[in-house]
Formats: sequence, C-alpha cells, structure tokens
Amino acid sequence: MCASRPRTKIRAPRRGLTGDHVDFDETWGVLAQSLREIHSQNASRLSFEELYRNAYKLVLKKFGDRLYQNVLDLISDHLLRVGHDDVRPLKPNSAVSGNGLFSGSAELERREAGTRFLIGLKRAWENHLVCLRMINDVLMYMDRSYCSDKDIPSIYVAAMGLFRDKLLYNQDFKVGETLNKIILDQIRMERDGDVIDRNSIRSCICMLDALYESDKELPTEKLYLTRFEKEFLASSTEFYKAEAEKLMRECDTASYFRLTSKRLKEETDRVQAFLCAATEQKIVRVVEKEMIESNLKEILKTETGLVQMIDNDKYEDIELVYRLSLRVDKDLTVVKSICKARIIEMGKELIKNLGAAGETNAATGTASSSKTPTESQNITNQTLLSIDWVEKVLVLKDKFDRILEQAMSKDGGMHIAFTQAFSEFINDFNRSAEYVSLFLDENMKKGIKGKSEAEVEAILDKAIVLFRYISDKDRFERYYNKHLARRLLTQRSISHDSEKQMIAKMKLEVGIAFTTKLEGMFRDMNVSDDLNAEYKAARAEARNASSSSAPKKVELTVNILTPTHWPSVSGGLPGEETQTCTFPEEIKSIVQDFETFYMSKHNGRLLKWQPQLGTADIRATFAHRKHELNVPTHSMIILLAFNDLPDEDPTLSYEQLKTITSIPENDLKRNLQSLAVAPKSRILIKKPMSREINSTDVFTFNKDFQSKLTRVKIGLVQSNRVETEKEKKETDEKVEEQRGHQIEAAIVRIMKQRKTMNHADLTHEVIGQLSNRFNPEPTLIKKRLESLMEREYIERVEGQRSVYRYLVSFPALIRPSAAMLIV
Amino acid sequence: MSDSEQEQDLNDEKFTVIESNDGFEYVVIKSYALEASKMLKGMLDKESPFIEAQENRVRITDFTGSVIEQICLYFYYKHKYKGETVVPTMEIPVDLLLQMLIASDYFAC
Repeated sequence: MCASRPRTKIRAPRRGLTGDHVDFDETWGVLAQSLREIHSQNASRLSFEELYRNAYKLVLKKFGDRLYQNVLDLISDHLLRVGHDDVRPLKPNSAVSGNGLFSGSAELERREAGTRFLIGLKRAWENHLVCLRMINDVLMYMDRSYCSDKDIPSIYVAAMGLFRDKLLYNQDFKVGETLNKIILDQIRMERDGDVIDRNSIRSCICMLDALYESDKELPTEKLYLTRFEKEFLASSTEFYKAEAEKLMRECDTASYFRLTSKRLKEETDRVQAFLCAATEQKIVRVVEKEMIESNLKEILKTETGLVQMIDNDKYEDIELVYRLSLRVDKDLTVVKSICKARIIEMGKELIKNLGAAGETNAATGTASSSKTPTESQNITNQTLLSIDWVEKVLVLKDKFDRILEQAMSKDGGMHIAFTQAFSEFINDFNRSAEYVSLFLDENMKKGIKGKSEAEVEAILDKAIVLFRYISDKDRFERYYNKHLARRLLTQRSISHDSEKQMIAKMKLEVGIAFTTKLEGMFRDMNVSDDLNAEYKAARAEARNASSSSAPKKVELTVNILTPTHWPSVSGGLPGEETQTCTFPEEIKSIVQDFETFYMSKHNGRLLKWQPQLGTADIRATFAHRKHELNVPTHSMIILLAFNDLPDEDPTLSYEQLKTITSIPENDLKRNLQSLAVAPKSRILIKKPMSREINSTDVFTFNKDFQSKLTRVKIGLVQSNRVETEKEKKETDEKVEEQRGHQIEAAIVRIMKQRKTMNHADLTHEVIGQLSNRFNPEPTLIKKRLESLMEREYIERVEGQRSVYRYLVSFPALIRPSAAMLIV
Repeated sequence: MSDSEQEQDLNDEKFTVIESNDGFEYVVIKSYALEASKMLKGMLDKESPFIEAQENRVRITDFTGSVIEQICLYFYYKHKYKGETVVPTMEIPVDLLLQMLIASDYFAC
C-alpha cells in the first residue's frame, strides 16, 4: 500500500439501502396503491421519491419480472375498466350499423353522437398518456436495468400496446372499428358540406399515429397506416368514383374541372387539418385518379369540352384543364391530341372554305359573262383569297399562341404539339408555299405602307413563323424568287429595307444557300441603278460635246440581270427562249448606244434584251387631250408602228404588225388584246370587233380614246397572283427536277467524304442534309442512287448488296449533266 | 447570498432543495440538477404532479449528506464542462467511491 494514503478506506455502502430484506407483496402493495391513485388523477399527494425508491428496491432485489408483470396487469385492468365504463357507452348505435338510411335530423344526431364518441375516446387516450408518463418516470429504474437487461419492451411501449389491445381493439368493445367508421362518416359529411369537429378527429388520428401494431414500433406499422389509412383511401376512392360519375352527368366540362380543383384543395386542406402529412400525396392521388385520370378523355371530349374552350378563348378554363391534366399525365397526351386535332380541323376548315369560295366565284363568273375575263377575274379573286387564307392562318396561330401563353404557362411540349399540328395542315395543303409567298408579296406591295418599323417587323416575323412550318422550302423559294423578281422589275416593292430584312430573316432560318439568289437580285438592281446614273451622265456629256441641240426624245433605264439569279418571269429562263423583236428606229439607236456604253465598261459580256419584262411611258396625243400611257415595252413597239402611217390609210393588219415588230406571236396577241379589247384601255380599234385576236384582224389607232386619268396604265403588267392549274403543274415539275439534282448533289457530297456507306445510313444522311429545304422521298433517293450508279459515280460493293462505294471521279466521267450538280 | 434572496429564488424555482437522510439540506440550481439526473427530472419536471414538485424539495431517504454533497458538486461540474472536450477529472473522496457508484445509479446520472 502506498504510504501517502495510509488511512484511506473505502466505506462500504450502507446496508440499509440494499441489504434489508424486502417483502415483495408489502412493497408492491404500497406501489399499487399509489399507481391507482395516479390513475384516478390523485398524484398530488404522492411522493415521487417514495415510489421511485420502492420500485428501485424491488428491481434491485430481483423482483423485476414480477413488478413488470404486476404493473402491466394493473394498467390493463384500468384500461379495461375505462373501455367498459367510459368509452363503450359512447358508441353510437347508428354508426355501427351504418347503413346510410338517415334523414336530415338523424344525420345531425349521428354527427353529434360521433363527435361525442371521439371526444370520449380522446379523453381516455389523453388520460392514459398522462398517467403513463408518470408511471414511466417512477419506474424509470426498472426500465433502465430490468427491461434493457432482459431486452423486453419498456413499460411505456408495453402500456401503449395495452391501450391498443385492451381498449382500442378489444373484441368486446370494438372501439377501433367504430372509430374508423365514425371518422370516415364524419369526413364524408364534411365532403358533403357539413361542418364537423375537426379537433376531436385530429386527436384520435394523432393517437393512431402514436400507436404501433407491435412493440417493436416499426414506422411502417403505425396503426394509422395499417388500420386507418387504407380504409380511408378505399372509401375515398369509392366516394370520388361516384362523385366523378355524378359530375360527368350533371356538369359541363369547365365546372367539372373547377369542382375537381376545389376537391383537391379540400383534401389537401383536410389532411393538413386533421390527418397525417404522409397521406396528402396518397389522397390527392386518389382524387386525381378517380376524377381526372379515369375520365380525362371522356370529359374533355364532350361538347362543352376542351374544343369549345379553345373556340371561345376561355383561358382560365383551359389553364385549369392544363394544370389538372399535368398532374396525371406528364406528357399531356390527351390534351395535346385534342389541341392538335382541333388545330388541324380548323386549318382544314380554312382550306375547305378557300376551295368553296373559289368555286362559288367560278360559278357566278361563268354565269355572268363569257370565259376569258372570268378566268383572270377568278385568278384575281383566288389571289385575294389566298392572302386572306394566310391571314386567317396567322389569326389562328395568334389564337393558339395566346392560349399557350395565358393558359399553359408556355409549356414547351404543348408548343411543339401546336407547331406539329400547324405544319401538318399547312403541309397537307399543296399550295401553302405559294400562298405564303403571295401574302408576303401583297404586304411588300401594299400591306406595309404607312406602318412603323416595329409593325412591319411583326408582320415579317409572322410570315417567318409560317415559313418555318412549310417543309417544302424549295418550293417556297421558287415562288418567292418569282414574286420578288416581278416586284423588283415592276418597281412595286415599297421598301427595299423591308425586303432585305425579310431575306435576312430567311437566311437566319435556313442558311445562306437559300437566299443567295434573292440577294443576287438585289445586287443586280443596285448595280443597275449606278449604271443608269453613269449612263445618263455619259449621254448628257456626249450631247454637250457634239453640241447638237437635238431634244432627247427617249430616256432609257436598263436593269442588268444576272441570268442565274432571276427566275423565269414569263416563259422560260432568260436566254432559254430568245425573245427578239425589232425596235423602231428611235429606240434602236438608243439601245445600240447603251450597248456600246456597256461594252466599254464590261468587255466580253453578253447582253441580251428582255423587252417582255420592261415597261415604257409614252406621251400620246388624242383628239381630246394628251395622255401619258404606261405600257409594256412590246405594246410600245406596237403603238410606235402606228406613228408613221399615212393619214389616208391608218390601218395595220395583224400580219403587218407581226412583220414590223417581229414580236413572238403569243406576246403580240396578248399585247394587242390589252390594247384593243380591254374596255378601259382601247387605244387601238380592231376590226372585226371580237374578243379573240385573229391573224386576219385589222387595227387602227383610236384617236377618240377618252379617260379621266391623265396617266393611263395599260394591261399586261401582271402582278403576282395565284397560279393556274397548268402553271402549278409546271412549277411542280420543275421543283421535282430540282429536287432530283439536289439529292444527287447531296449523295455525291456524302459519298465523297465517306467513300463507302450502307443504304440506310446514306438515306438517313441525305434526308438530314436536305430536311431544311424539303423532305426527300426515300424512293426518289433510290432512283437517284441508281442513276448515279449508271453514270458511275458510285458502285455497289461486291457481296454487300446494300453498301455503296464512291468512285473517285476523273474528268472523263463528268458528263454534261454533272454541271447541274454544283449546288 | 442573503436568506431573503435565497427565499426569493426558491419561489422562482431557480433553485431546489435536496435533503439527505441525516438532515443536511443542499440548495442547488434546479436546471443543473435536472440536466444531470433523469430521476430528478422525472420528479421535478414542470408537468410532474408529485408532492416534491409542488414543494420544490426533495427528500432522499437512502443517502447521507456527504454523498448528496458530492452528487450536487457533480451537477455543477457536469454543467460547467458541458460540451467541452478537455474535461479535468472530478476529485471524489476515495472513501465515498462505492457509495457514489450506487448513488449515481439511483439518481440516473
């Protein structure tokens, strides 16, 4: 032992505490008495220390098991008594029989009886909790040493189990079943609009939530989940099934959705008020399933359904439909399909109206007058209709844009669905490309007059939207080129800035290749302007130099067009069909003058005159007054031929005119028709008077021509209009041909890069490359492939039927048609 | 601390009195005691209906003043070093060690 602590001695614990003999029955007697006091809420006279000490002693003396058992017995006895005396008498008879045949007053009574029962049960539960807490505290030592040593449930847990077994689910009392019935009954009353005592339900729900199926207290075994929630969900499912059926019968779609939304809110609210939070999702799901999911298609397709909401722009209703559908269907399949169907239907309707209106016009036309003017009139009408059609499509588009924005929170999926629907009906209609181009033409000529930049921009943006929908972009390109060319040559375009803006927009959409020709046209126009100014200056100088005072009789403005940029304006590419005519002397000299001037600037170029594209202003003296005539160049040549005729015989026959002017027959006829037949511009008198121009006709200058206007515009200056069937067929053929070339070019481009490739991949790649211009048909691709194999650009790889190989091309292989391949 | 103040604090229930079986009384800060001993917590907690809670006075029948004194010291010691990582060893008189062991079991602290 250590010397520093010689006298230290550990005192033994006092025997008094542990060593004394403890008589179980005696000590338990004291304890039991006290516990009973606690149960009858008389704890204030009790000493905690005494109880604690007694329990402590018993456990210490190995009476733990007896103590544990006795306490539980005591608690069970108490609970049985409570169940028997306090809770069971409160059980309403009606709720147990629960057959639902109650009149109003009985219902009220039933509700109150239910509430009384709930309150009674709640009180029993709360008392149990309070007592149990005290007992638990007092028996703390037992829990700590005895229960944990033996690995048995603590007294608290065991007593909770007793509450469950002895009271709640005691077969003699059937309290639990009654409780479920009453709560469900009360919820049903609340759903029907009654006010119920939510607090008492809430307490009972809390009780169920605090109790477990077994003493292990697994979170999944809460009585709330196992005994109540299932039943609640089942009864709710039943309720909402019936509710949905009833509403489907009684309400229109909008109110159906409004009520459903209200129900959803109510259920959420209810869960928050007196159920467990975990139930919220489940019950909401029940409502969604029964009220929305099972009936969505049906309810949206009634005559008051989604279609009607769309037609009447009921944004709020649509929004509700959108939001509720989204809950059950992430992809909105049903809503999408209905919207798409409606868009397509409305689009088709527009197309049908177009056809119908055209036909009525044609019908009335044929009835009123003879054939020729009817056709042109009909065409004009159709042009107007086509523009009208595009406008209506835009209105439709606006409508759905608004729906998307105001009712569908700009849902991306819906946007795609709408776009698909629009492209579907637009592409389904084989003239949409032409019509959209005509619409733009109309706007460029008239529509944008007097509009602010922002407004013009808006119109162009709309047009671009339609442009985007069109899958046959190449067809559109063809029409647009044609229309633009005519606009530029006849100087009908209001604003070149807007034109350029439009082209820039298209370029942004589909790339530079699409707009090179369009831009080329503009370049030509600009170059021509400069050239004309230069030419004018040069001529003035020349006149001054020669000091001849000859009045300048003719002023010439020339547009130099690059043939590849300009589409056929009337009949074939320029140069394809050489348009010749003999200019009268005064014109010829100036034409030659210009040619000399041009050649001096650009040596080696070939200049071809296209008089059929030009116009001329001529001043003519009539008997009454002078008029300024704006006529096509060809008409001018015809009229000038009458200038030098002797007074005694001022007539020219058709044949004579043909010889003098050598204008191609078609053009000649048409020009004569507008000069001699059209009622408002009869500058020439034709004999005999008839509508047709025949080779035997004879013409005289009409001196007595009268018009209110000083400046008279005469015929042939065709504005852009709808194509006739024949023209359309031609365009289609050309488009097809062009496509063939483009497909070949794409194939060659791809094969050159890949060398070998199988058929499926190649087709896929070709479609990918060309899809922003048009959608190539696989059969067409196949045909082109065969043609290319024939011309030995590619070959099949031996043994592999569907694989192609690119043959390195050498000059000998390039045949004339290859020139077309350069794109 | 003067008597009157002490009286005041007892009424405020800031303090509580622990009485040993040999007549010693220890006035301790109640929250420290409840913090350390689960048994005292059950006994004196606000919701406890027992007589000890009403009188704010605990009679411990099984332990002498010397043990209770150490227990009370332990309450303060525990509070002082609550949450700290470096804690000095509490000095307990060697002769009381066994009794302290039993007492700690009894007090559940």
